[in-house]
Amino acid sequence: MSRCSAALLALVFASACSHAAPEITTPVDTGLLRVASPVSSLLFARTQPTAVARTQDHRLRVLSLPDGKELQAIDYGDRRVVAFDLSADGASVALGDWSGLVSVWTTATGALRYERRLPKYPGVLTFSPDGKLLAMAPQGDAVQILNAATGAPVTTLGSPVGGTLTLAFSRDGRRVATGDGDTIVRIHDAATGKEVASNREFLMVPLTVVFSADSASVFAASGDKFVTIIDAATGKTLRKLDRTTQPMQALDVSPDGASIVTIFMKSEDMTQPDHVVVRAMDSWQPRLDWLPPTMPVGGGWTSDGRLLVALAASDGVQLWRLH
Amino acid sequence: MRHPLSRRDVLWKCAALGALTLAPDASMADVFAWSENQQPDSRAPTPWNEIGPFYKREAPNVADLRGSGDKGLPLSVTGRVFDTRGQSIEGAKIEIWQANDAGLYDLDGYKYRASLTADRTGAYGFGSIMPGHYPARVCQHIHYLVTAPGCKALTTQLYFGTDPVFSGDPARNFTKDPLIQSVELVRPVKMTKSAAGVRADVTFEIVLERL
Repeated sequence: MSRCSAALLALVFASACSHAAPEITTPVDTGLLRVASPVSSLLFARTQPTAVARTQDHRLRVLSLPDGKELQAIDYGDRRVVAFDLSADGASVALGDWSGLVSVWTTATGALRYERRLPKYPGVLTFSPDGKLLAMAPQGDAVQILNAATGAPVTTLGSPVGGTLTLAFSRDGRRVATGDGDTIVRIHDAATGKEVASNREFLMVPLTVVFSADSASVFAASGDKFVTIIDAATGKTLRKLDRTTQPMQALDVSPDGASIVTIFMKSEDMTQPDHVVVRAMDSWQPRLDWLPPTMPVGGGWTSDGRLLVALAASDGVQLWRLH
Repeated sequence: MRHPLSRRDVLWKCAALGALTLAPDASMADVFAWSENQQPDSRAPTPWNEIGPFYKREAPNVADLRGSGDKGLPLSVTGRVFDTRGQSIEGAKIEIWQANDAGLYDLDGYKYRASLTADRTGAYGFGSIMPGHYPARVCQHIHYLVTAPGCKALTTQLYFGTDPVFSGDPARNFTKDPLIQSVELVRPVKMTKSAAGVRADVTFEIVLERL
């Protein structure tokens, strides 16, 4: 266990005994981000004031923040989209469709950089934090990692039964964590694809994985309805947090590593919104617990450390600041 | 336990009993190669479907998933597990999971989840209820994960020709659910009536690829 993880655990354990109930904040409506067509989904670049909205007129609209000025509109035709991701620096956007075709564009120019055909449609597309790698997880098949700039293959991970349903890069870019159909969380070397550790304590398929800011541990959650903190070096469970009433479909750590957002899934109807909870990483205490009135179309941590959630509006998206 | 003979076993037996004789320039290897190329029983692998978010391992080995008083149309699913050469796969493990009549999955326990084992003829079967429509999906479905030594694991889903989504014409309308990429996964439903009431019978055969 790394020194950072040990310190984190000590704080989590201590907080369980002695932490005073923190003040719960409420989200702030920061206003409308106007977009030229109704928004299906929206992503924020993590290190640059840029967002990309996928709109119902089949375009990827590159927007500057906070003014919402449209910088590019990329037409992706009649393709039925299943996955899309924006690099942390906002320079690259990837989109995958039901046919298994993945396209990567340069957002500054709107130029198509390359396309790759997968054996099956991608469940997940994820850029590494430095934007140099792109991981593509074809459903039921092996994850492929590419050079994000050129599309050249870098490595392929093992092919677990049921494929990979979720994946995340560590912030140092050296590791990839996958949540696999055989219910195992695996940690791989991002350069070689070699499996370096695994955790087999889930009964259900992991739905989300994310590394801690120091890359030393992995937070994972599944239909089992709890978060497990896993040592990224050994795969051992460091701590299993309290069971929740619903599963979590997404976890994300703030840029400064001090907060984590947990997005719950209404398991009886995934088309309906469920709670979004922001927690202090050191204590796991909730700082905010919000039930959005409608299903969010996107969100994420922004370059200035804010956590924004976007709700669809008739002429754009309504942005709520949660942190 | 008596095992069904493979095509190769039959040829060996024929040769041993004199039903098959070889010319001087022929060998059993030639016969096997010819036999493999003929593949009279060859079958296409069952189309793949994604595993979905609610698979749970360690499901119980129970053939009747219904509880007393469970709502929903009683359903009986039977089938056999083969390889692509048409040989039945004894001992194949068939894990199934589905929503209840209201379209809800049990995440806390193992309701409507089972792990079955194919018998010596590759046969399996279970009793359940017709799954409801899960709100985030278009069609009624039952998930399958089928594994067997020497075979490629298969995740797939069983759909029902009577699903209202298909408007009575699955061949034309199966693409209404983008996850259904082959109409082969939409199986006809046979309704039967007994003293216990009406029941839906479905046959779903599974064909695995050899490694």
